[in-house]
Amino acid sequence: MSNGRTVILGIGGGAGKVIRCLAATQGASWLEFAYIDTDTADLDDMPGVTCLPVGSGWTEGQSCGGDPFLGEKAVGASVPELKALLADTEMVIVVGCLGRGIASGGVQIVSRLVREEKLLAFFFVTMPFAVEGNGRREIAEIALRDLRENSDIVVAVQNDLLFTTIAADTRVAEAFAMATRVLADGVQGIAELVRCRGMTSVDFASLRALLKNREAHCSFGVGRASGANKTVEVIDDLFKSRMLGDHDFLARSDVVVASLIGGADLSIGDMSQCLSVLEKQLDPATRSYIGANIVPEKGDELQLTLVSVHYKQKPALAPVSEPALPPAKGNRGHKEKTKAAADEKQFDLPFVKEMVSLGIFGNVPPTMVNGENLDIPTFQRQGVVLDLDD
Amino acid sequence: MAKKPTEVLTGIEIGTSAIKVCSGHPLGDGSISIIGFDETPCVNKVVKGEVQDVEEIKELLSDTLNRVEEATGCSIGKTYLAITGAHIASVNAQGMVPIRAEDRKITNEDIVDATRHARGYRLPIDQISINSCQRAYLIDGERPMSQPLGMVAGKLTADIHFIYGNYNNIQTSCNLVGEVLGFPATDITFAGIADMYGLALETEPSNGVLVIDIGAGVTEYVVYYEEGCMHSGQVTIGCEHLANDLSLGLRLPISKAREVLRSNGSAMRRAEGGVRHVKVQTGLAHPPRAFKESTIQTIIETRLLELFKIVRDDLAEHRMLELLSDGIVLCGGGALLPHIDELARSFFAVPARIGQPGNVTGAENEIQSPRYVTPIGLLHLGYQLGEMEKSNTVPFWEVMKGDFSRIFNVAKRAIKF
Repeated sequence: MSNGRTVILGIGGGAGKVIRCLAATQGASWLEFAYIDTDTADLDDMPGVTCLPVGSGWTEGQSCGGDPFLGEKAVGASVPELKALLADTEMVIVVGCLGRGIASGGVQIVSRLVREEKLLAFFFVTMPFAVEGNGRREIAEIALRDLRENSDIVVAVQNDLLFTTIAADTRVAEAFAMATRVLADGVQGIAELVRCRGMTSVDFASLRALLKNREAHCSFGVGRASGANKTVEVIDDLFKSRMLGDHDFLARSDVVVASLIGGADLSIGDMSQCLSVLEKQLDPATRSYIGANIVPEKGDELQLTLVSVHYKQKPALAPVSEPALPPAKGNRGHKEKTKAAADEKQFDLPFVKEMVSLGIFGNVPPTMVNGENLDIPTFQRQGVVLDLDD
Repeated sequence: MAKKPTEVLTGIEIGTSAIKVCSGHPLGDGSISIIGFDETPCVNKVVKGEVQDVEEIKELLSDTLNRVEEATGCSIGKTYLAITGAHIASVNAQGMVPIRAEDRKITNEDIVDATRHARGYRLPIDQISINSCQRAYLIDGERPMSQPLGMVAGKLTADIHFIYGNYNNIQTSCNLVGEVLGFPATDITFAGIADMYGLALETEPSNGVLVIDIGAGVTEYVVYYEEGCMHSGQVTIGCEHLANDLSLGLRLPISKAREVLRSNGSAMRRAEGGVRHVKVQTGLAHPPRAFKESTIQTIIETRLLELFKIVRDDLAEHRMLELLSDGIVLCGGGALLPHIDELARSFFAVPARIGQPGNVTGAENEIQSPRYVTPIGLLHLGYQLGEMEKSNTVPFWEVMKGDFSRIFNVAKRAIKF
């Protein structure tokens, strides 16, 4: 088991609620909590949490008003303080609710910072409810895309998954409180999943391998049970997790990472029984990575943490042969871009390239209108055949 | 002569095909007597309206100015420079003031304030305003009015059309002219705005007209409605593109392609073009090559239709097409292409004609060509600006002048032309 510090860093109002909830949870005492926000009102009433107000010069203690650039600027101005906060940390779990200003902008700064500092970082972000409107959705999508370029593990959770499991007549306040509670459970579960490094087949590295550079949406669930019948109950409890989505959603996962954590008296029979029940719930095509760990403090309790990964683009059946590029250290964003550019090039019709001629406009800035280079003769672009019978 | 010449104004246009310089003195009745003009070809040294070779252009401009000075016998004083190029863009800005007077009548101060608020629009950081034109005043935010003074209203909105360009590009042109002259140009303006002054548009302004200036490298277009410029724009496509298309399509050297364009070009496909042939001598050792006229016409027509389509799409986006009740006036070197007015008429479905420089006397035969609309327009504009500065009939002109550096701004109320 690792002995390094694990810091849960919340960014922005939504994450603040999760952090507050988490800090009050029993069994989370081995974690350290930190919280950054521009809104000073949100920074009060956070027992056991290191609070760092940022960007007070920009926002005068107000929120960013949903402007991710302001959020980025505010957090960017506090990088030295953040560095000090994260010094000697072994792992950081960054929690943010994307769609608003500080979280969407701030996570970018944090992602760059942890990469520079070579910390293990785990980004746990939520996407806004559909009812929150397209504007937020767009901000969140952009932020998530940028975040993926800079970080290894991004667990993006759809808040809308909550609606698949809660009754439609649930009050809004309750729904949001529930989301907070569930997120806090998830963060704790994932922290514990990674906590037991070295003893398990599922650890930080395997998560990283699954999520690195992949566009994926994740859902997760945590089940806990104790007592004589705990191996069955823990599965039942897991499926009650709001963020896991329904059964079908789980069965359709591309990858499932599950980790069973038990006390010192966890027997091999309990373990195999529990995991085989879980296996049955999954589609045979789903790849599953299942591990078990022992944490003595757990005592009688059994905890099952499950992350279900849905790739946006399904992995190709036969891997396309790629030139074996040496891994560009710290330059992944660029590599990805060139790769994307190479992909785009495939759609170019090669013979058009040969036909195109610019004449006297070969060396001057092109006249581009709607993405078309108008220096190329119109008849060539429109495919007009000329009658040249000389 | 009606009046003793008081001053000599000079207009300079550094175009893609030639540097054109025009000198004249205003006669006081709105017309200008041209006393000297000259032009020097500068192909390849200016591309798409932007100077590529500053030193070379300086020399050519200096020669041209010297020749004009010799012809006029006067030293060059006030100069006006036309600016164009791919960096020019435009934007509309509004400024509003509530009317606070007890009788709620709009006063001159309200007009000045509303205009000042509109002019407070912040351009991108490396851009600078070249022209700002009053589009309209809106009374209570909805009723457009060209003269709001004395109207009873709750609030007054001024709507201003800014034409702006890249600071460095404009500074390059200004420095170039300043270094040749020894003193800075009196004012600069967007070439399309100069066209508005240079054309003889007697009846059109009240109705709305689209002026398209097809130059060698850049096509500028401006919509005039009521008394001012409503919309403007540029496309960096010009006659050089036509020549280049011909050169690539017919596999001719670019110089031959320019010749073909000048002597045998036609903007529209003609019925007889399929049987007539054009002979081109491509080199001494080669036998002349023959092309069908229809082939040449096809190349030119496809390019021009595309250009018109870009203009029309932009106007449609800004809801300008409904305003063009008086149609289109074509000027610039491209307007010399036979049948281009027919093509514009059939494409835009409004009347179209070729514009000539208006309200000029002297040297009439030589300068009566759409090519000289811009430099002559600069003289008219210079005269109007001078009059405006002299008289106090436009009170807010003075107020605004302080806001901006003198050389870069033509703050103008629309003037009758």
